[in-house]
Amino acid sequence: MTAELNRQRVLTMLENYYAGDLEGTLERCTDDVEFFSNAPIDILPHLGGHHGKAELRAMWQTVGQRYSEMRHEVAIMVAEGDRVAALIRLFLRKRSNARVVQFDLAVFYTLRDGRICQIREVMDTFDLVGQVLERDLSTLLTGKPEGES
Amino acid sequence: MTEHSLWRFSRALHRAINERQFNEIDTLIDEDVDWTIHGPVDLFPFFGARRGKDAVLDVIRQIADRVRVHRFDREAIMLGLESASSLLRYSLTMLDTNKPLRLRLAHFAQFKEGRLSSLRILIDNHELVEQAVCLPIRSRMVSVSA
Repeated sequence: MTAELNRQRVLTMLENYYAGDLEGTLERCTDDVEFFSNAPIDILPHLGGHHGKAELRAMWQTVGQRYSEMRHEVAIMVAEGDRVAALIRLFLRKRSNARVVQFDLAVFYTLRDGRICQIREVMDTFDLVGQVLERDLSTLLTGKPEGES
Repeated sequence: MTEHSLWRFSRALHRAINERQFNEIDTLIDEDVDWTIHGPVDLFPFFGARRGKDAVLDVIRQIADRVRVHRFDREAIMLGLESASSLLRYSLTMLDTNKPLRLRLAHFAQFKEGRLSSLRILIDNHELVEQAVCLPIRSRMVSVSA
Protein backbone atom coordinates (compact mmCIF):
# COMPACT_ATOMS: atom_id res chain seq x y z
CA MET A 1 0.00 0.00 0.00
CA THR A 2 2.82 2.42 0.93
CA ALA A 3 4.67 1.56 -2.25
CA GLU A 4 1.63 2.32 -4.43
CA LEU A 5 1.04 5.59 -2.60
CA ASN A 6 4.69 6.61 -3.05
CA ARG A 7 4.58 5.60 -6.71
CA GLN A 8 1.63 7.99 -7.16
CA ARG A 9 3.44 10.74 -5.23
CA VAL A 10 6.42 10.51 -7.57
CA LEU A 11 4.17 10.56 -10.64
CA THR A 12 2.44 13.69 -9.31
CA MET A 13 5.79 15.35 -8.61
CA LEU A 14 6.92 14.62 -12.16
CA GLU A 15 3.66 16.02 -13.58
CA ASN A 16 4.20 19.18 -11.53
CA TYR A 17 7.81 19.58 -12.60
CA TYR A 18 7.31 19.02 -16.32
CA ALA A 19 4.25 21.31 -16.27
CA GLY A 20 6.62 24.05 -15.06
CA ASP A 21 5.28 24.21 -11.50
CA LEU A 22 8.62 24.54 -9.72
CA GLU A 23 7.24 25.55 -6.31
CA GLY A 24 4.65 22.76 -6.45
CA THR A 25 7.47 20.33 -7.18
CA LEU A 26 9.56 21.61 -4.27
CA GLU A 27 6.55 21.29 -1.93
CA ARG A 28 6.74 17.55 -2.54
CA CYS A 29 10.34 17.44 -1.31
CA THR A 30 11.69 17.56 2.25
CA ASP A 31 13.61 20.66 3.35
CA ASP A 32 16.84 18.61 3.45
CA VAL A 33 16.30 16.88 0.10
CA GLU A 34 19.49 15.50 -1.45
CA PHE A 35 20.06 15.34 -5.21
CA PHE A 36 22.85 13.63 -7.05
CA SER A 37 23.17 13.19 -10.79
CA ASN A 38 26.12 11.26 -12.14
CA ALA A 39 27.22 13.64 -14.85
CA PRO A 40 30.35 15.47 -16.07
CA ILE A 41 29.95 18.76 -14.23
CA ASP A 42 32.63 20.46 -16.34
CA ILE A 43 30.19 20.19 -19.25
CA LEU A 44 26.85 20.10 -17.38
CA PRO A 45 27.68 22.23 -14.31
CA HIS A 46 24.11 22.42 -13.03
CA LEU A 47 24.07 18.66 -12.38
CA GLY A 48 26.25 16.85 -9.82
CA GLY A 49 25.23 17.10 -6.16
CA HIS A 50 22.79 19.51 -4.49
CA HIS A 51 21.36 19.73 -1.00
CA GLY A 52 18.21 21.45 0.20
CA LYS A 53 15.33 23.14 -1.57
CA ALA A 54 17.22 26.34 -2.39
CA GLU A 55 19.90 24.47 -4.32
CA LEU A 56 17.33 22.32 -6.13
CA ARG A 57 15.34 25.41 -7.04
CA ALA A 58 18.47 27.05 -8.48
CA MET A 59 19.36 23.91 -10.45
CA TRP A 60 15.87 23.51 -11.88
CA GLN A 61 15.75 27.23 -12.73
CA THR A 62 18.99 26.75 -14.69
CA VAL A 63 17.38 23.88 -16.59
CA GLY A 64 14.37 26.10 -17.29
CA GLN A 65 16.63 28.85 -18.63
CA ARG A 66 18.22 26.42 -21.10
CA TYR A 67 15.11 24.62 -22.35
CA SER A 68 11.89 26.19 -23.55
CA GLU A 69 9.81 23.02 -23.54
CA MET A 70 10.11 19.88 -21.46
CA ARG A 71 8.11 16.71 -21.91
CA HIS A 72 8.39 13.36 -20.15
CA GLU A 73 7.13 9.81 -20.56
CA VAL A 74 7.42 7.37 -17.68
CA ALA A 75 8.38 4.05 -19.27
CA ILE A 76 8.91 1.91 -16.17
CA MET A 77 8.31 2.33 -12.45
CA VAL A 78 9.28 0.00 -9.62
CA ALA A 79 8.23 0.82 -6.07
CA GLU A 80 9.05 -0.88 -2.81
CA GLY A 81 8.32 0.64 0.59
CA ASP A 82 9.70 4.17 0.75
CA ARG A 83 11.66 3.84 -2.50
CA VAL A 84 10.61 4.35 -6.10
CA ALA A 85 12.65 3.89 -9.28
CA ALA A 86 11.56 5.36 -12.60
CA LEU A 87 12.84 5.10 -16.14
CA ILE A 88 11.81 8.31 -17.86
CA ARG A 89 12.16 9.40 -21.48
CA LEU A 90 12.77 13.15 -21.70
CA PHE A 91 12.31 15.58 -24.57
CA LEU A 92 13.86 19.01 -23.96
CA ARG A 93 13.76 21.83 -26.52
CA LYS A 94 16.81 24.11 -26.42
CA ARG A 95 16.11 27.82 -26.18
CA SER A 96 19.28 28.58 -28.15
CA ASN A 97 18.29 26.90 -31.43
CA ALA A 98 14.98 25.02 -30.79
CA ARG A 99 16.61 21.63 -31.27
CA VAL A 100 15.24 18.80 -29.15
CA VAL A 101 17.46 16.82 -26.80
CA GLN A 102 16.00 13.38 -26.18
CA PHE A 103 17.33 10.88 -23.66
CA ASP A 104 16.38 8.27 -21.07
CA LEU A 105 16.87 8.97 -17.40
CA ALA A 106 16.89 6.50 -14.50
CA VAL A 107 15.84 8.13 -11.24
CA PHE A 108 15.85 6.60 -7.78
CA TYR A 109 13.68 8.38 -5.23
CA THR A 110 13.56 7.89 -1.48
CA LEU A 111 10.56 9.26 0.40
CA ARG A 112 10.16 10.23 4.04
CA ASP A 113 6.76 11.07 5.54
CA GLY A 114 5.29 11.27 2.04
CA ARG A 115 7.91 13.68 0.68
CA ILE A 116 10.91 13.06 -1.51
CA CYS A 117 14.12 13.26 0.52
CA GLN A 118 16.64 11.81 -1.95
CA ILE A 119 16.97 11.83 -5.74
CA ARG A 120 19.69 9.86 -7.54
CA GLU A 121 19.95 10.02 -11.34
CA VAL A 122 21.79 7.92 -13.90
CA MET A 123 21.75 8.60 -17.63
CA ASP A 124 23.79 7.83 -20.72
CA THR A 125 25.95 10.91 -20.24
CA PHE A 126 28.01 10.20 -23.37
CA ASP A 127 24.88 10.47 -25.51
CA LEU A 128 23.57 13.47 -23.57
CA VAL A 129 26.81 15.43 -23.81
CA GLY A 130 26.91 14.72 -27.57
CA GLN A 131 23.38 16.07 -27.98
CA VAL A 132 23.94 19.10 -25.76
CA LEU A 133 27.17 20.06 -27.53
CA GLU A 134 25.83 18.89 -30.91
CA ARG A 135 28.95 16.82 -31.53
CA ASP A 136 29.27 13.19 -32.64
CA LEU A 137 31.59 12.08 -29.85
CA SER A 138 32.02 8.54 -31.23
CA THR A 139 33.38 9.96 -34.48
CA LEU A 140 35.57 12.33 -32.49
CA LEU A 141 37.08 9.44 -30.54
CA THR A 142 37.28 6.76 -33.23
CA GLY A 143 37.80 8.94 -36.29
CA LYS A 144 35.13 6.90 -38.06
CA PRO A 145 31.65 7.94 -39.11
CA GLU A 146 28.87 6.56 -36.92
CA GLY A 147 28.05 2.91 -37.67
CA GLU A 148 31.29 2.24 -39.55
CA SER A 149 33.31 -0.58 -37.97
CA MET B 1 9.27 -17.36 0.96
CA THR B 2 10.39 -17.70 -2.65
CA GLU B 3 13.60 -16.02 -3.73
CA HIS B 4 13.08 -13.07 -6.08
CA SER B 5 14.00 -13.82 -9.69
CA LEU B 6 16.54 -10.97 -9.65
CA TRP B 7 18.85 -12.77 -7.24
CA ARG B 8 19.03 -15.97 -9.29
CA PHE B 9 19.50 -13.97 -12.49
CA SER B 10 22.20 -11.77 -10.95
CA ARG B 11 24.19 -14.76 -9.66
CA ALA B 12 23.91 -16.55 -13.01
CA LEU B 13 24.90 -13.45 -14.98
CA HIS B 14 28.02 -12.86 -12.92
CA ARG B 15 28.91 -16.55 -13.17
CA ALA B 16 28.52 -16.32 -16.95
CA ILE B 17 30.73 -13.23 -17.18
CA ASN B 18 33.47 -14.27 -14.77
CA GLU B 19 33.50 -18.06 -15.10
CA ARG B 20 32.05 -18.47 -18.60
CA GLN B 21 29.38 -20.77 -17.18
CA PHE B 22 26.38 -20.20 -19.42
CA ASN B 23 24.17 -23.19 -18.52
CA GLU B 24 22.32 -21.51 -15.67
CA ILE B 25 21.78 -18.14 -17.37
CA ASP B 26 20.42 -20.01 -20.40
CA THR B 27 17.51 -21.28 -18.26
CA LEU B 28 16.72 -17.84 -16.82
CA ILE B 29 16.13 -15.89 -20.04
CA ASP B 30 12.77 -15.79 -21.82
CA GLU B 31 12.80 -16.79 -25.50
CA ASP B 32 11.38 -13.39 -26.48
CA VAL B 33 13.54 -11.26 -24.16
CA ASP B 34 13.95 -7.55 -24.92
CA TRP B 35 17.42 -6.32 -23.86
CA THR B 36 19.04 -2.89 -24.15
CA ILE B 37 22.27 -1.47 -22.76
CA HIS B 38 22.23 2.22 -23.67
CA GLY B 39 25.61 3.41 -24.89
CA PRO B 40 27.97 4.07 -27.80
CA VAL B 41 27.97 0.86 -29.88
CA ASP B 42 30.88 2.17 -31.97
CA LEU B 43 33.08 2.06 -28.88
CA PHE B 44 31.51 -0.91 -27.11
CA PRO B 45 29.89 -3.34 -29.60
CA PHE B 46 28.11 -5.24 -26.81
CA PHE B 47 25.99 -2.16 -26.08
CA GLY B 48 22.73 -1.55 -27.89
CA ALA B 49 19.46 -3.43 -28.29
CA ARG B 50 18.99 -7.18 -28.68
CA ARG B 51 15.83 -9.22 -29.13
CA GLY B 52 15.45 -12.92 -28.35
CA LYS B 53 17.31 -15.35 -26.14
CA ASP B 54 19.98 -16.33 -28.66
CA ALA B 55 20.96 -12.71 -29.32
CA VAL B 56 21.12 -11.98 -25.59
CA LEU B 57 23.21 -15.06 -24.82
CA ASP B 58 25.54 -14.00 -27.61
CA VAL B 59 25.95 -10.52 -26.16
CA ILE B 60 26.59 -11.95 -22.68
CA ARG B 61 29.38 -14.06 -24.24
CA GLN B 62 30.77 -10.90 -25.87
CA ILE B 63 30.80 -9.17 -22.48
CA ALA B 64 32.48 -12.22 -20.89
CA ASP B 65 35.16 -12.07 -23.60
CA ARG B 66 36.02 -8.47 -22.74
CA VAL B 67 35.25 -7.83 -19.08
CA ARG B 68 35.91 -9.30 -15.66
CA VAL B 69 33.76 -8.19 -12.71
CA HIS B 70 35.76 -7.60 -9.54
CA ARG B 71 33.16 -6.06 -7.32
CA PHE B 72 29.71 -4.55 -7.39
CA ASP B 73 27.80 -2.65 -4.74
CA ARG B 74 24.06 -2.10 -4.83
CA GLU B 75 23.50 1.50 -3.79
CA ALA B 76 19.73 1.18 -4.15
CA ILE B 77 17.37 -1.65 -4.95
CA MET B 78 13.65 -1.98 -5.47
CA LEU B 79 11.88 -5.30 -5.92
CA GLY B 80 8.41 -5.49 -7.44
CA LEU B 81 6.30 -8.60 -7.95
CA GLU B 82 8.00 -9.57 -11.22
CA SER B 83 10.19 -6.52 -11.66
CA ALA B 84 13.31 -5.08 -10.12
CA SER B 85 15.50 -2.03 -10.35
CA SER B 86 18.95 -1.36 -8.91
CA LEU B 87 21.51 1.39 -8.82
CA LEU B 88 24.91 -0.29 -8.90
CA ARG B 89 28.56 0.62 -8.70
CA TYR B 90 30.86 -1.78 -10.57
CA SER B 91 34.61 -2.34 -10.54
CA LEU B 92 35.70 -4.11 -13.73
CA THR B 93 38.78 -4.98 -15.74
CA MET B 94 38.88 -4.75 -19.53
CA LEU B 95 40.56 -8.04 -20.46
CA ASP B 96 42.24 -6.83 -23.67
CA THR B 97 44.07 -3.96 -21.96
CA ASN B 98 43.98 -5.13 -18.33
CA LYS B 99 42.66 -1.66 -17.55
CA PRO B 100 40.56 -1.22 -14.40
CA LEU B 101 37.24 0.57 -14.82
CA ARG B 102 34.68 1.86 -12.38
CA LEU B 103 31.19 2.67 -13.50
CA ARG B 104 27.75 3.44 -12.12
CA LEU B 105 24.71 1.91 -13.78
CA ALA B 106 20.98 1.60 -13.31
CA HIS B 107 18.94 -1.37 -14.47
CA PHE B 108 15.25 -2.10 -14.85
CA ALA B 109 14.41 -5.79 -15.14
CA GLN B 110 11.12 -7.52 -15.85
CA PHE B 111 10.56 -11.24 -15.29
CA LYS B 112 7.96 -13.65 -16.61
CA GLU B 113 7.55 -16.99 -14.81
CA GLY B 114 11.00 -16.52 -13.28
CA ARG B 115 12.74 -15.74 -16.56
CA LEU B 116 14.09 -12.39 -17.68
CA SER B 117 11.71 -10.88 -20.23
CA SER B 118 13.06 -7.34 -20.39
CA LEU B 119 16.21 -5.54 -19.27
CA ARG B 120 17.13 -1.88 -19.70
CA ILE B 121 20.52 -0.67 -18.48
CA LEU B 122 21.67 2.95 -18.30
CA ILE B 123 25.33 3.73 -17.66
CA ASP B 124 27.21 6.92 -16.97
CA ASN B 125 29.00 6.35 -20.26
CA HIS B 126 30.88 9.63 -20.29
CA GLU B 127 32.80 8.46 -17.21
CA LEU B 128 33.24 5.01 -18.75
CA VAL B 129 34.58 6.30 -22.06
CA GLU B 130 37.00 8.69 -20.37
CA GLN B 131 38.45 5.79 -18.38
CA ALA B 132 38.56 3.50 -21.43
CA VAL B 133 40.34 6.04 -23.66
CA CYS B 134 42.36 7.54 -20.77
CA LEU B 135 41.63 11.10 -21.82
CA PRO B 136 38.97 13.62 -20.88
CA ILE B 137 36.53 13.91 -23.78
CA ARG B 138 36.47 17.67 -23.18
CA SER B 139 40.13 17.90 -24.20
CA ARG B 140 39.28 16.49 -27.63
CA MET B 141 36.80 19.23 -28.39
CA VAL B 142 37.18 22.85 -29.28
CA SER B 143 35.20 25.07 -26.95
CA VAL B 144 31.51 25.44 -27.61
CA SER B 145 28.70 27.16 -25.78
CA ALA B 146 26.43 24.42 -24.44
